[in-house]
Amino acid sequence: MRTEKRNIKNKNLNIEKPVNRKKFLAFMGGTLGVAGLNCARKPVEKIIPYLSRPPAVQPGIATYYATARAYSEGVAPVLVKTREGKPIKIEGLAEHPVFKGAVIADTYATIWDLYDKDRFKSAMKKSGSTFSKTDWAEVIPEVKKALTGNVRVISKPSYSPSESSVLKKFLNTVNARHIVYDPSGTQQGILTGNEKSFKKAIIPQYAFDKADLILSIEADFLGSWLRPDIFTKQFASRRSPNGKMNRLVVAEAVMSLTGANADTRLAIAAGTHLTFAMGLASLLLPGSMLAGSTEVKNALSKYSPKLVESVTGVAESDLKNIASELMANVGKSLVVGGGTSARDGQEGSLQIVINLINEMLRNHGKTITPVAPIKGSNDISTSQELFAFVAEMKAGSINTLIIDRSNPVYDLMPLGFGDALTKVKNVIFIGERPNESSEAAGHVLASSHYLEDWSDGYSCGIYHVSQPVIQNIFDTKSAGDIWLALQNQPEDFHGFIQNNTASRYASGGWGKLLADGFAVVEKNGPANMPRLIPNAISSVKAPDSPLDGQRLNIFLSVGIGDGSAGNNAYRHEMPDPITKVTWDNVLLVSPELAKEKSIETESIVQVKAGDAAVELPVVVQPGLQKNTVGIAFGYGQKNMTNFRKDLVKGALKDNELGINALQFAKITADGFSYSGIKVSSITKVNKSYKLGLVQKHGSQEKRYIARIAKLSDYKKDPKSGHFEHDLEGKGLYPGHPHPGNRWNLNIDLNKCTGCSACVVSCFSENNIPAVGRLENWRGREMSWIRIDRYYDYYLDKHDHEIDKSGKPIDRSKDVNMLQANVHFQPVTCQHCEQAPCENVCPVAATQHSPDGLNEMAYNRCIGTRYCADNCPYKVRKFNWFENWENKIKDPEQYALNPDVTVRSRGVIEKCSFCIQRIAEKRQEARLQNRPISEDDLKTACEQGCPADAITFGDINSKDTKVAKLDKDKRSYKIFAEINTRPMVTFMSKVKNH
Amino acid sequence: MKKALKITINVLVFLGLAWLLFGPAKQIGYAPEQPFAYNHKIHAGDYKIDCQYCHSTVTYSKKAGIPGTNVCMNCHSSGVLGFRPFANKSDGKRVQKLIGELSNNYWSKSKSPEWTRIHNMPDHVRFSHAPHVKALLKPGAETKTACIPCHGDVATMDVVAQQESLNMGFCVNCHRTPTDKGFVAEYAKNGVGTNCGMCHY
Repeated sequence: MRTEKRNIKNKNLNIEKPVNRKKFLAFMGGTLGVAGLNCARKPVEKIIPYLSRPPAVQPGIATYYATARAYSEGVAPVLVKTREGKPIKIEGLAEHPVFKGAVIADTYATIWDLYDKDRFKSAMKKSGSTFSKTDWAEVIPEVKKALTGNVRVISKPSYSPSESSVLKKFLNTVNARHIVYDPSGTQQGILTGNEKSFKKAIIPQYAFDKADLILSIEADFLGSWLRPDIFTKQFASRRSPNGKMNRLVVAEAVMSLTGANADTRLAIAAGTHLTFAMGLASLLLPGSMLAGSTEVKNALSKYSPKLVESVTGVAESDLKNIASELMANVGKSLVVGGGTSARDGQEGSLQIVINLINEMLRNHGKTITPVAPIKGSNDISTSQELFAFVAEMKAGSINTLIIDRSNPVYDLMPLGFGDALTKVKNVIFIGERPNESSEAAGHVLASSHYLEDWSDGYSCGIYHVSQPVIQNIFDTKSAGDIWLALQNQPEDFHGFIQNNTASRYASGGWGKLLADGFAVVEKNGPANMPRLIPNAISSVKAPDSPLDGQRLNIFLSVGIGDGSAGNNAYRHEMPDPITKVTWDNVLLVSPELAKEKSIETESIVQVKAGDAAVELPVVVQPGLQKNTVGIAFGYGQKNMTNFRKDLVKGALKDNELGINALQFAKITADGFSYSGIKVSSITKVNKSYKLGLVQKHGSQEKRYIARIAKLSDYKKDPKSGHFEHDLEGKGLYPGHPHPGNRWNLNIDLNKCTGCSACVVSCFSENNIPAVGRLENWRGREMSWIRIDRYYDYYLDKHDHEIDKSGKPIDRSKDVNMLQANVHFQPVTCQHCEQAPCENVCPVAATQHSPDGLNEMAYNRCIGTRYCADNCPYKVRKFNWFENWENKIKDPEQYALNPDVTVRSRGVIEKCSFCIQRIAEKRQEARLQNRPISEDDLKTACEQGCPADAITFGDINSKDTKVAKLDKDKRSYKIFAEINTRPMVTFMSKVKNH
Repeated sequence: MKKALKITINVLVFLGLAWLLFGPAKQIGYAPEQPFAYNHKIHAGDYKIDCQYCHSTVTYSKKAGIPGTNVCMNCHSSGVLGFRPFANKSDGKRVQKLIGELSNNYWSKSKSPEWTRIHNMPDHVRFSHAPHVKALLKPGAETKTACIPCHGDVATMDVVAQQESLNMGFCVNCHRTPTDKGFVAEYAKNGVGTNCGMCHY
């Protein structure tokens, strides 16, 4: 003891000139004085009133407009919240009969596309190798002069009837031809398949809510396939274990969001989806209505369950089980397939088999109807047309090519589009922001964002109008206006829509159309698909022997999709729902292969496939067969190189964010092959790398955080799968009185699909900064709601099952990494009644409110981070850097919500239960002399959830929805055992298994 | 000498700090120069124009609203200078000049004056006018009675100056004892919060 003390003294001696008490006080006084002087004067602010305020614009009050985002992937109806004339938030349009308010993360993120500083600010003209500004009066005549000889227009699929019709007129006036391509291949696959099966190229309407059994083969319909917003809404509406709960079976190679939500997931080898589908069809054939067709019989006979097992790796018994389950659900099932990872070089082949299966199961006319289709006609060019077009370009016979809001240089890279483009004399680009294709153009016609200009969209039998909610921020024109200007039409596109298109579709009149945002034209209802042509199956060639070696699948990611809007920090900041990777593209590798090659998550490997040899980071992903690897589509684009340096610091390549997966893609005689690409080698490279993973661990470590039960067990005992800790009234401190409201958030884990729409909705509502890949790697992500993803690996049983005495059952011996069960759990601030954070704050910056909120006063916070340290849920986020000042560039600041403080460096922040929304509605209710009710408000995450998994309300009144849910047998709180008494209730997941 | 200097500096720093902390609020009396010499006393005082005629969103919005130039032009359209004979010639000339300025420099140029904000809450304070007006406006009373507790009687001011500190103490004082401070009894009955989240979020 004594020696220790002496040591400390000796250490002190090292300080040569100790600071004495007097000097310290003098310094401190001086510092305080200087600091105090700083606060003596307030900043001077200016108020500039409107010259004549429009009656609809009331300062301080939000105005909402119903509009629609019509783009190449479909039409998404939205409600746009504007403040003082500026859109600040995208919300769902609850009145829409098909979408019912569902919006996906990608659509929420479009608010930042509008305020993107890197957009084209005017029309541009290339002189030499640099672009210079030009104005419309100059550029339109120049472009018109170039419209001679062979003129072509290339674009992505369109859902806008007005745009299509003005474009058609333009094509006729200049005698041009139109080429349409689908970057992800999803729409093309379905349209081509339906053309071959039914002679009717449409994308029909699916009814996931009417299906008791859903089988998806490679189709990620909850994440990236067609319209995940509609499908999530429909799917989740049947996930209540008390009613007739649906069952989802997924057969896929790489774990997708849909696969993660499957009740039964069958991991197939990459590139063998056709074999699986054929094998299934062959089992369903006997006894079905097509049993008499010899063509079908001949085509399928080869694919016995045994062959399917050897090729796909799915056990014979599993295939037979699925087949008999499907047969038991005739007319009540739905089989879907396709997507980027099923683009196997024969466009539409999987859809033909899917059509056959649905026909045999008599689902056509019940769960799949041609009435009010998602896409009513096929405008996409066939792969042969595309090949011929590129050949024409290479031959130099194209004089002028207009690239309309697309990026064929990137998307059609496997065809060598970029090289072919150099042979085209005049390249004209129409688009919002620079990309590979605009670089190659001579003229750039800057197009506006969908929130700035008029457009329309037709999908699901509903006509949508897309109206401007803000004046053009830059000198841009809508694509419709550009086409009209190029054909000397004096009319503007607004007038064209109103007089020609809307008058045809919207019988209720223009005013009603603008108020509603849509007009129902065709009602969805039962109607059968056209007669199936069984013979179509004979053209399908499915692998009949096991594919050799490593096989790669390219899939569409939930976050950035085809990457065309990749210049948006929030699309990268949103962690991938499965891998939880931010700001990067990774190679997904099975645990078995990882073990064999001694690679792990964050390793760098070199992948050789064909001519490509690419280095990229790895994530070890359970649920993949050993020989399957996967990589996401859309990364490595030019538009992803403009990010602030601190956001992308430490990326694998300095000037490229993520690896371009199209380097691996192959071209066949019949189309594009993104599936089952042969990989010649995967070798570990000795490099260290930091991957922006926000969750590095997948196990719950037996802590029962995300609770789960089997449906059969749940039916016996609704409390199955979880248990309670009754600590009511216990604890050191007395509770807080809640005389009025007491807010509670209920999250139904059975409905949550992990799609992350709530995360992006919260980013937008609460002014949350994007912090970049290295900060995410350090665990300093700022999102107020995160979605935890857990795996458990026990076939049929679960990690956190307990025996009769309450002890966890050890099942570590039964691990089967292929059968990973995935659980998603959104975690926000739990607003604990006995909050551990409140007790430890030295300055009382976080306190409890009478309405049950754990409040955070930023101006009091001095940044000790003690609260974050004491929070068992890790929901308190610290601002390590100044995330806004100096970093935000005009016009990005307009996306900020003026009702929420923009936090600066050195303070803690966290989920506030959208207190600004509560305050606004409370004040509104008081003005009307009434109590605030549950229907008044929704938090951003609740409103953002397309699955209706989140419910927010007052738990003090007995008959609110949230109070009833709280008493449900499935309800529980996380870490109830430490008596924090959270105000967030979870409802355990029930697997229909 | 050196010692005296040391002591003086310390005392000065101490006094300075004490002044900063306990001295009168800096904002009281703040009356910055405005781009246009608008006179509240004439409009709201002499002519008894209701506050809401110009600050029209005050009863239902967070913001009271600064009138657009068109609101001025409702009365001061061409020819209308004032509504009573001027006491002397110079007054008349001054007003004529001002209204000429309003018409020529702002209205005909489609411009609004850039007013300097007087009552400026810090960014971390969320103040909403509507509930406060609702709470302070007694049935049948003049609108300005609801404004006076925070803004003073603007109708007596030639140049508007801030009358109250509007700091947290000022707010909390009222929130703690709402009925004593002239809140409408029915409003105060529901309770007025003093928790942090009432104003800071």
